[in-house]
Order: sequence, then structure tokens, then C-alpha cells
Amino acid sequence: MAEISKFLTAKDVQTVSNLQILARQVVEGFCTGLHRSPNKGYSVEFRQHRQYVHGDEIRHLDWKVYGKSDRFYIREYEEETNLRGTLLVDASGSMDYASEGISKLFYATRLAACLAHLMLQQADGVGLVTFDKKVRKFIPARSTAKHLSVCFDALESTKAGGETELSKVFKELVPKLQRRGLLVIISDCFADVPSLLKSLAHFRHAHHEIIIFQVWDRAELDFPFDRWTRFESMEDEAFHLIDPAHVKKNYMKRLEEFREQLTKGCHRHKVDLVPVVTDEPFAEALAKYLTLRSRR
Amino acid sequence: MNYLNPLLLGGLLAAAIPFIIYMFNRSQYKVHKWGAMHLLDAAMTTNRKKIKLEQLLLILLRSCIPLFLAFCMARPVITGMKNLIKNAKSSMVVLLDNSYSMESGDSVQNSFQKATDETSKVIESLPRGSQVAVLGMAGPVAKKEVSGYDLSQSKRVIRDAKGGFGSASPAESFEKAAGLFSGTMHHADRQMVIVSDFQKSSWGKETGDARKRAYELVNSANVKPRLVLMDVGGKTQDNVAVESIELSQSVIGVEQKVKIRANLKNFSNKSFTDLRVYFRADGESKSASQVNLGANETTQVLFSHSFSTPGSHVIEISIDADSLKADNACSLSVPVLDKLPVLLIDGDPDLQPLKSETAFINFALQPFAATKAELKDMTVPEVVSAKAFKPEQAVESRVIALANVNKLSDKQLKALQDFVSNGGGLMVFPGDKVDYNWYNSKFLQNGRGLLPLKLGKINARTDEEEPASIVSQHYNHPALELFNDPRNGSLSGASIKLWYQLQNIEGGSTDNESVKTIAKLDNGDAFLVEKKFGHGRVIMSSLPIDADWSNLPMKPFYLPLMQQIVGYLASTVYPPRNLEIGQSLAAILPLSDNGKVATLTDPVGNVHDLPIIAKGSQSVIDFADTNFPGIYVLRTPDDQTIHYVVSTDRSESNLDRMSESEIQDLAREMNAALVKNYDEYRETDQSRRYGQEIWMGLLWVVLIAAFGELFLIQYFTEKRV
Repeated sequence: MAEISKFLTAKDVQTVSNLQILARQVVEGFCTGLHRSPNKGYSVEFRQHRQYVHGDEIRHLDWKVYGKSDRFYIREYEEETNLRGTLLVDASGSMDYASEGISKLFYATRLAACLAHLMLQQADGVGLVTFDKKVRKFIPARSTAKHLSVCFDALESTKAGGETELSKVFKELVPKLQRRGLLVIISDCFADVPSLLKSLAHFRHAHHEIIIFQVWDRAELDFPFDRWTRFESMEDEAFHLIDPAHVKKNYMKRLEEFREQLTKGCHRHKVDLVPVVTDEPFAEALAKYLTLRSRR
Repeated sequence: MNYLNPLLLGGLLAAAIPFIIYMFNRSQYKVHKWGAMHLLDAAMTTNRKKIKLEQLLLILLRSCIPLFLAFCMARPVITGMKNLIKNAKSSMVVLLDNSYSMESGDSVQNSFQKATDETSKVIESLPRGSQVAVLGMAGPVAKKEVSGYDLSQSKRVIRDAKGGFGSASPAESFEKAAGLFSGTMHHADRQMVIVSDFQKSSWGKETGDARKRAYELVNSANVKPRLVLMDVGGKTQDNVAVESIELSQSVIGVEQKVKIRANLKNFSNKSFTDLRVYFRADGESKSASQVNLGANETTQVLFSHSFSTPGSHVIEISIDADSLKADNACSLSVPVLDKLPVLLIDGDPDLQPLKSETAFINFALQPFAATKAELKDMTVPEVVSAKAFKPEQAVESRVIALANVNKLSDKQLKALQDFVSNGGGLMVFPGDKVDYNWYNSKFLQNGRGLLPLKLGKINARTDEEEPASIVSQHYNHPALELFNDPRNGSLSGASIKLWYQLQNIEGGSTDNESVKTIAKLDNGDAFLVEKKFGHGRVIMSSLPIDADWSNLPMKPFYLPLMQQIVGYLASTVYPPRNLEIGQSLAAILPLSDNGKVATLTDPVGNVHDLPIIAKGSQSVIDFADTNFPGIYVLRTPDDQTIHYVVSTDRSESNLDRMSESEIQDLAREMNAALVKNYDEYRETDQSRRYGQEIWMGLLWVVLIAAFGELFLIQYFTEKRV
């Protein structure tokens, strides 16, 4: 399994339609590759001793200390909290773009499935939100095994469409995600960057940790067109009839500016921005995720 | 504007092709659903105008390529506002520089060969029916004057033309050309093509005024000719010339040693070391010498030689310095005399020794015979009294002396006049017997006669007074040059008591154009005067030839003085045998040869039969076509050989050419087109006849547009990657 997942490309994913199998293949294979077992469970970490007061449970008394000092001390531990991860998957019209092979949304849903599987493997809670210019589906975080199927069903049924309005959607989500946790946004982030950053700031204010997987199609990065083309918007009726050779330089310049603006903004708000391209293997995206997680 | 291929103008429609391709591409677009529309919007909004401008620029540039290509292939010709003469017949005068400087140049082709080649092409390019006259600027190009101006004839003339003549004379050539244009040349399109190496000696400032006047003459014609200067000169070559040959004595006798001095000049900035100089006599190499010749220096080389036979001889000095052969050798025709007959006409004969008037001069002219020495005298004097003097005797003499002759009969005087005018020498010594009236009337003939000056009063010094003497000075006259060397004695040693005052006709100065004083007495009176008369000379003394009035005959210088004067007077060779190009060649023969034919071989080897024609008491031969330098050999009916040397002057030996800017100034001054060869001539003539073709410029525009399009595409598109 490890071998397969290591070289699993986006094209291979097409052949494996079942999200659950795919997720398990990718995650298990990946984790095995890292020599870490996802079945290890969670540990209990000692925090401090405190003097016994009336009402404390006797089972928490440290009998060894009592044997040495003849006093009752209670062993206190770190609160055992599970991670609450919420996957925010952009399903706007622009996510339907595919220059060849799979679309960005296809990639995003598969990536989300993998992440959900990985989180649940670690006994973390996983929630899912799909949206375009408004929230389409909101599945609160749970850590049960059944919940994974719910998420996968939701992901599989997600279709692209509608315009993108990330800031509006995120503002809408802030009150719904009161409890602090990890927000994994999978989107192309084609929105007004300042307002997007502003809405991310709201999440940060609510003590959420944020990772953005910015999904790109290779053609969006390279602009490999050479003959007259009518570029039609996937979200509205707008179009441009142009000779791409004449526009390429400016397009690349704007692209660079957009990415730089977004990267700097995310850095400022301590948001992790992970650009992924649809022709890259999921394992690479997961590796980026885990690298970022291990830093915290 | 005209077009040589007007049909190809249809290709101008191809200019629409880039626009059509643009529109076609635009219409054949593909539709692409695009997600990152906000990026494309941003890219388009800021550059929409710029992109349109770039596309427009590219379309225009691409349209330019077929447009200008079609234009270029249609071969447009700019005519301006002038009427084109197209194939109109021309009247052309070609002035061909055939001076010997044109023979310099590289070993493959010298300037003259280039000139004839290019001129032939120019003539060939003329429309059929055109008139062409070819004139040599230094000498005639054809044996006979070419008339009719036929093209093929002119080509033949050019093909057979020979260089090697003396200095080119632009002014003279212009005048001849002006004469042709105003004469028989009648086409409206007129051209004068001047083909030359533009050597400074011929075209420099010193010749400018005459040239300008002649040029104005050319331009004063009703139809002004178009002037073309064709510069065929190459790089200035090094040149050393044998400028001249001089002989130590004017009369040369058999077995008499004569010194031959050659003057060599280096016209270049290069020094010549161990330059070989050869001396030849009658074609045989006699001796050689070596000299060093510094840059721009002149030197002399001396040879000595004696001729064993009398008659006509030729000597030659040559060098093997450079490629310009014409001035590497210099020749001289030298008549060698067996004897020099002198007729002494004695006006006061006396049988007693040393009493007669001619006793001393007779002795001085044949010293060996008089002293019964074994050596032979060249001068053979014959004494005759004035009364016994017969006209036939004059013909047989080279020099005649009148010694105290009272007067001559008219017949005798006429014989003397003929004798002198045909190149003879006459000495006149007065004395106490002379008839004043006859001398100052018939002999003087008011300045037109033989007597140089009028006989004036007799000046005298008394016994108390210091006798007069001859002024000792530096003598420039060839007869007296000997006495510039003190070892040969001084003329001032003589004591003179009586002498004739020689007066000019008006009684004023004794100097005029044909009469010059060659020696003076200490009081300022003339001692010896000379007059040119016809082809001969007369030398008159103010003293008698004997010892009556002075002790002149007693002095050691008397003998050489008489010898020198006789030699000088006998040195006149008439007709001359050393000629310049174009000068007539002549010979005087006995009357008995009248009607016979003499043969003349010219330097090229052609043999001419020359008729001998009677003229007065003699027969003469005349040959005018001495157009080519070299040795002409005349063979008379009595098998006598006479050599004539025809040479060029050496002014062309200085091969310095006018600078490029000077030639350009000259062309501007003359309002002439300046070309280097036929191709350049054709270009100027084509543009004059058919207008200026501009296809070359258009082709450049096409190339520039093509490269510009490539560059712009790179700039607009490739760089954006």
C-alpha cells in the first residue's frame, strides 16, 4: 500500500471512485511511510500535584507521595481534548475548472476526504462545510467512525456552481464555529484578498487555527495558450476574446501579485497557506499538512 | 515616377494579407471556460489599449513587407520633374589623357589601359547613331583626324590608341572640344567625358586660369554639354626620370672625346641606392655606372665617348628604376663632323705674313696645320677675298667670317642671308676698310638685316690714356663659358686702343629681343653681340680681327676664343634633329635629289616614303606626324642616314596626383559628374536617361521591416514568457 500511495497521482484517483477506499489508501499508506501508526491512541500527560481537598476523588490520590510524606496529594493531568477539525470546501463555479484531467473541485473533495480520514484515524473530530457564495452544507464536527461516511457522502454529492464570495461565507460561519479548532479551507481563493484576509482574521479571533489548501490548475499557473481564445467565465457571463500571446506577460504579473498578496496576508494572520496543483499526488498535499501540524 | 515592371505593382494587394490573416485567426478562436477570470480581468483592463496598439503596429509592419517588396520588384524609377532623354542619341567628345604618366600603375593594368578599357565601354553604351570624337589630351590618338564620329570607328581609335606623350593640356583639349561641339556635332544630348589620372602637373592651380577660360568656351555653346570626369589614376608610384642629356661641346668631330652628362631626378620620397645607369651609342651598350639618388634629389652622371665615324649618331642614357618606362631613358641625336669648313672673307688681303686681315684667325682655326703638327684640325678655314667670294662657297661652309670687308655685292649679300637663315653662322669683324653706309643700310636693313647693330663712331684711347680692355665677368654665353675657368685665360688681358661703338638703330640701348650683348668693354661699350637670323646666328665684334687696333691676337686666349665662337656658330643643326612631339621633322638635301624618295622609319617600325621637294636652291623633306616619342631614322637617296630623336618634356615625370578632395572640388567647379569607372558612369547616365532606380533602397526597407517584425514579435510576445 505504501508503494501505491507514494506514486498515487491525481489521474490514478479517477480510477478509484470510492472516497473511503481512496482516503484509507492514501492516509494509511502515507502514515506507514512515515513509520507512525495511526492506531496508537492518545496519551495522558501529567501536569502537577495539589493538596487533597474534600470532594476530590480518592482514585486520583498519589499513594506514593502519601507513603513518603504522609500527606494527601492529588495528581492533576492535562485536560484530554480531541482536535476539532472542520473542512471548508469551496464549491464555487471557478472550482470546476479543469484544463485537462480532473477539476479543482474533484481534487478538493478527494483531498478533503483524505484529511477527514486522517483526522478520524487520530480520533479527532471532523466537520465539513461546503459553500459557494453561501454555505451549502454544514456538518458539525464529530469523531465517530460513522461520521466519516456522512462527510464522504456530502463530499461526493458536491457539485460546482455559483459565484465565489469567500469573505461573506466565512463571516457567516464564524458564529457557527464557536469552539476553537482547526479550520482546513480547500479553495482556489479567487476572491478579493483584503476582504478574505479580514474574514480569516475573524476566525483567528475565535482562536481557530487555519490551514488553506489553495488549489490550482496547472494552466492557471502557466497560461499555456497560443491561439486566439475566447475565455468565458465559469461564474458569470463575462468573457474575453484575446490573442493569449499578447496577454500572457500581464496575466503572469497579476498572478504573481495575487499570490504574493495572499501569502503575505496569510503570514500576517498566522494562517498556513498550502498551494497545491491538481496534477500533484495527494500524498504531497498531506505531507505539507502534516509538516505544518508538526510545527505546532 | 516610372516603373520598369509595372505589372508587378499588382503585388501591392499582398499588403492586405497580414490583415486578412489577422481577421481569420480572430474569427477562428476557440472557447475556453476559465476560472481565474479576475486575474485575466486585471491583465486586460490595464493593457487593453497597449495591446491593441501593438497588434496594429505588427499588422502595419507585416503589411509593409509585401507592399515594399512588390514596389521593389516593380522597379520604380524617380524621374523628378525633368524630361528624360531615354534612348536619345548623344554627341560625345572623349578627352583621353595620353600623357606618359598614364603608363604608370601596377603590372597588371596601367592607368592608360584602364582608361581605354573604360572609355570603350562608355562608347559601347551609347545609343546607336550617336556621334563620338576621341581627342588625346597630350597628343593625337589617331594617325589621321577622325571625322564622321562613327561609333565603331571611335572604338577602333580607342583600341589602337597609344599613350606615352608629353604633358596633358586640358585647356587646349577643351578648346578643341568646344570647336567640335560648335561645329559638326549636332545631337541635342551632348557629353564631354574627360578620362585622366588628374596629375598635379597638368591639372594643378598653375594651369587653372587657362583651363577655366577653355571650360567657359565649352559652356558658352547653345547646348551645354554634360561633363563627366573619369578618374582612372591609381596610387602615386615612385619615379626616377632621366631628365636631359648635355654634351660638353657643341660641335663634335671624329675621334674627339666628348663628355656626356645625364641629369637624373628622383620624383619620389623613396631613396634609390646603386641605381644602374647605362650609356648606349648607336644602340650599343658602351658603359654603365651606379649612383645613389636620395628622395626628391637630382644628380648627374658623366660618361665620355668618342665617335669613330662622321655622320648621324644617337646616344641614349637609361636607368632601370621603375615601371614608368617613358622617362627611364633619354636619347640625343648627335651629328659628328669630319671637318668644319669655315670661309674667311678677307677685306684687306696682304701677301706678307701676318699682314692680311684674316692671318691671325686663319692661324687660330688650324693651329696644328699651321705648326705642321701631326694632329689633325677639325676646322678647315678657307680664305677668300671679298671680291672673289662666290655664293656657292657659302653653301659648302658651316661658318663664314667677314674680316674688314668693305662691302658685298647684292648677290653676295643674298647668299650670306640664305646661308645664315638656313642655320649657318656668320662672324662680322669691322676694320678701317668698312663702308659705313653699306653696313648701316644694306647690311643692317634697319634691324631686319644680318648686321646686329649699327656701326657707330670709332672710340679711341690716346697713348696717355689707359687702353680699354674686355670686362672679365661670369659669362653665360656658351661661346664664352670656357673663360669662366681662370685656367683657360682671361679676356681682360688685351689692350684695346680703337674700337667701333655699336649702336642700336634708334641710337639707344644695344639690347633688344633678337640682339644680345655677350661681352663688353670696360667703358660699357659692346665687344661681342649676337643676333639670331632665321635659323642661324650672327656674332659681331666691335674690334677688328687683326692686331691693328688691339693686341687681341697676341693674347693666349685669342685661339680658344676664335675656336669657341666658330664652334658655337657651327653647332646650330638645321633642320633640328632633336625634336619634341608634334614638331615637324625635316632635312635639307641637294637640289639634285628633287623628285626622289627618302624613307623614314618611325619608332613603332612603320616605314614612310617621303617625297623630296625642291625649295629654292635646295631640296627638302618634311614629315609632320612625329606623334610618338622615339628615334626616327631617315635614309636619303644617296644612302645617308640621319637620326631624329623625338622626345617628350619631363613635366609629367612628377607623378603626384591631385588629392581626392581636389578632384571633387574640380568636378564641382566644372559642374561635372565625377566617376571612377564605366559602372559609375553608367549609373549617372542611367539616372539621367531613365531616372534614378530606387529598388535597392526599397529592398533595404523590406529587410528592415522583416527584421523589425521579428524583433517586435520577440519584444511583444516572447519576452512575456
